[in-house]
Amino acid sequence: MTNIRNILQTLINNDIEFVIIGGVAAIALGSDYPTSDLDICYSRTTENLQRLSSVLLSLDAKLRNVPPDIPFTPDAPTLKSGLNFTFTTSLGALDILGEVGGIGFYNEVKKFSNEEIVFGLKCFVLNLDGLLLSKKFAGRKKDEPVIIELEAIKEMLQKKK
Amino acid sequence: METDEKKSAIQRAIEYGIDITLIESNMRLTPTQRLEKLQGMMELIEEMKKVRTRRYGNLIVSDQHSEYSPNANK
Repeated sequence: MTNIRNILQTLINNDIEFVIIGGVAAIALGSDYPTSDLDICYSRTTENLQRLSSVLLSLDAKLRNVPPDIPFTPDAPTLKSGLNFTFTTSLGALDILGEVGGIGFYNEVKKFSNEEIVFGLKCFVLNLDGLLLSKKFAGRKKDEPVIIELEAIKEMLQKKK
Repeated sequence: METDEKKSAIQRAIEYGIDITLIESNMRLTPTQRLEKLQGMMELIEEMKKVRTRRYGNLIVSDQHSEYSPNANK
């Protein structure tokens, strides 16, 4: 089971630059669709890759959906040579994306985020416009109800103003 | 009859089958409370998986390295 609080705490304790995206961001904004993993978009600066690599190693991160006998070490050069990774860690499922489809890399994603306090931690969370952009860009059938729900949430918030 | 474009997003969601009352209820919570609710749901699902395993054993494939995964070696 994914321990969202502890993963976020670990990322923040290690000064990882990231934005919460995906299903957890949608839930933080009011969605009622559950998710079982935590997705983040991370900065690809050399320093951040090194810090992120240390965190992933400390969490015993293994690639998900890949046979366990395939060797993989999430060191900084490996993270640099790839982009988006899906991991199983000692704290649960963690997906790290260097680029979010429909938005771009970390710096662009951050522009579509708001600073929120979650579990007492200051985190950047992808906002409704960003979520809608990324989900529409992905064009997956499974996102259809989430898009309709997020558009309803956006309208509710606009009516409140 | 109203076209889809003229309908409000809330109306479209209701017609799609989304329970707006659940969203309204979420909107009254803080982001932390919403994520705590998700965490509670995850814990419940985990408990239900244990019940499933106790009752049926490991007949059902693992959720992690599923043989039905598109990336699985067959």
